Amino acid sequence: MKDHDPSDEAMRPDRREFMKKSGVAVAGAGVMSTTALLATPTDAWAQALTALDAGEVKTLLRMTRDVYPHDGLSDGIYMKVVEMLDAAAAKDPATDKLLSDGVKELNAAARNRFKKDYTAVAKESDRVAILQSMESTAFFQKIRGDMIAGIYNNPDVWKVLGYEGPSAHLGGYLKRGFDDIAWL
Amino acid sequence: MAAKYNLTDDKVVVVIGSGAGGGTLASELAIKGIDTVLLEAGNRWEIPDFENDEWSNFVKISWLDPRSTSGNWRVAKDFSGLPAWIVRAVGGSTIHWAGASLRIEDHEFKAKTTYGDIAGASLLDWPITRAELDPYYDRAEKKMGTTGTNGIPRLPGNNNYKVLAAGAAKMGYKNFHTGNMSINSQPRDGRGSCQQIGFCFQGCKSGAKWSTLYEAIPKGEASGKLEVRPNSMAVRIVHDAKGKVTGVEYADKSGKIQLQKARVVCVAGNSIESPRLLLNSASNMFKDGLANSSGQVGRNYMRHMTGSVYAVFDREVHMYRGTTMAGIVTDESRHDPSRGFAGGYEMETLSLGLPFISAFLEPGMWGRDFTWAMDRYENMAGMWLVGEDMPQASNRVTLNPNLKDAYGLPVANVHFDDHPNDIAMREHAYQQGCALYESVGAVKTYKTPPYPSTHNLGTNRMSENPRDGVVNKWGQTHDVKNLFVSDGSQFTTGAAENPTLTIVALALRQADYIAKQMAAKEL
Repeated sequence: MKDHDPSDEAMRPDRREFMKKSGVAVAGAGVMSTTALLATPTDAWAQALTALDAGEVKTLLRMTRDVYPHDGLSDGIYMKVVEMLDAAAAKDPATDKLLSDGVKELNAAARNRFKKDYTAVAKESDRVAILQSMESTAFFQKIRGDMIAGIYNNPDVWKVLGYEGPSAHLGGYLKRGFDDIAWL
Repeated sequence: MAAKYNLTDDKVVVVIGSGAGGGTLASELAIKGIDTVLLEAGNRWEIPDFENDEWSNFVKISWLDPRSTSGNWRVAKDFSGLPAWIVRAVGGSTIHWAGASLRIEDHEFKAKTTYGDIAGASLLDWPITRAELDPYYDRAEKKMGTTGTNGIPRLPGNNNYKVLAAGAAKMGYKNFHTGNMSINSQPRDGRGSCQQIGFCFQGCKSGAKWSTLYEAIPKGEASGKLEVRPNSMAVRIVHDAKGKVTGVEYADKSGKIQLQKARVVCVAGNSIESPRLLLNSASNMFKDGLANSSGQVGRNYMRHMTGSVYAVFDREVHMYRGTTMAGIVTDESRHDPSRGFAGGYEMETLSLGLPFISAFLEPGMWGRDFTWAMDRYENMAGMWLVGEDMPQASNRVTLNPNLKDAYGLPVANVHFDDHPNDIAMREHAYQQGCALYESVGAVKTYKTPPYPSTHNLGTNRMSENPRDGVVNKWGQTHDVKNLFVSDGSQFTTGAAENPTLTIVALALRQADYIAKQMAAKEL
């Protein structure tokens, strides 16, 4: 997160402004405003998962953030993805093995390059370099593929990224800004 | 009231598939008083079943039976098991379609004459002209309530359209508007007007968008001459010793094979399943598949030159609000070889929700470049580029001997290689699309590769000469008199336009022909 281009900030849509306009109360914004979830995940949470051990869970949590890094999303969003992976591993031994072996491979690649485990590599760009070296593996593709649904099909994420979603039950967007663009 | 026919009733016309072609044809035949059985592989969902949820509705209505792919097209890499994005439900892909309703141009019906010989392309002129089809286009537009025709006002432009229109004006384009859309801009034919819901691809919750599901099919059923049988997957067409077809075997809801006898059979399962069914119906008499003496069944598979441009602006757009495709620039649809390719393309607004844009914007992309775009989703505008692709004999639907479906039948393999003309057109279209958005201040543009094919065409093509294609100008197979093809697989060439209006016009025309031939005891 330290590594990203600060000039990006100038481009970032103003979330608070958006949320005000779209009528999403801060209290109603779910996990993103919950202080507890903004803290680093606790060992208690990691240990509560069934198939993956605490070390694997922490590695996957770091990895999921590195694959689709959104600074505006809380850890809670990524924790949900890891919970989904854990549930899949609990159901299917092949998935369990894919994930466990993948984490081992990831750590081996990290030690090979930086002499430490993946989560201990401090710079995001260094971790990304490790991931790039594993991009074609079934493990990486499983994580990346599952994350598309795990992140972008999550209504809590829609609120943050500015997608208002279903509209039929609200009468469509006819009276809710379908043609309200004013800057052209 | 809906009719009910016996399996042994050999007086019925059996139509396979209930989309734009099959649904329209079955309805028309029934209204003319002809006993008609409509077999549909999928379920019968109704409007309340549609969900404003991209993934959940995709899983509910899409054709997800196994298929395989090959060739150098990008879809084979990104979506190897899903060559096409089409529907398995009563109403077929008229549930998913966006509503764009354009007539194929006169010069496009004469593709070979207009474009000349193009290396590697199996171009032909259609055996019909625009003038011959015009009366049926008139009827189709009236039936479907197409905006911009019959005095029906065009839809209001949404934010995504306004960006497109502003860019088009800056580019010096002259022909742009909210399209000829079969979506009610005012209440019509018992259905309400568009509520700008978005989610046109997920089934229209207001019923403003035309679909055979709630327009043609109920009207056919009301005639008392149409039985719709959902969850009935046609697996083989059978014939007698003289080579006339006599019925259709289909798997019912429980997977049990039934045989519906028939006087006439019309195949409208979309351009992948229709040739697959003919090939899977091979017999001792027709060793290479039914109606395939030409060897053309499955060949010349076309899917339109497609691609999308998405642009990120520094201000909000909210492209997903409102009608998905109500916006078009037609200036590039002309044939103008000075651009470096034959044929033309349309630029049409398109938006995807966050769940789908993340999957389709640049499949496989990850990291900060990707999340930069997703963080600016609300500032995005998008367009679809859709143009004529070259027919090639080697682009082909074949049976995959190594992969079987739930009924033990070989699935379709869809092979497609881009023709150099397709590539040149796509490059041009990407450039123009990016320039259009940059002219109104786009900060970044994305050249999004093709989605799984929605416009599947040409695999049972129409030809004057029986050697060159599978069906004649009426969609009647050259080889078997009482066997018809009634979907987009009849298309001789792809043309630049979205195909649904032409499929409906051809179905209306075919219904007249079948009725006359039956009355004259020719069928």
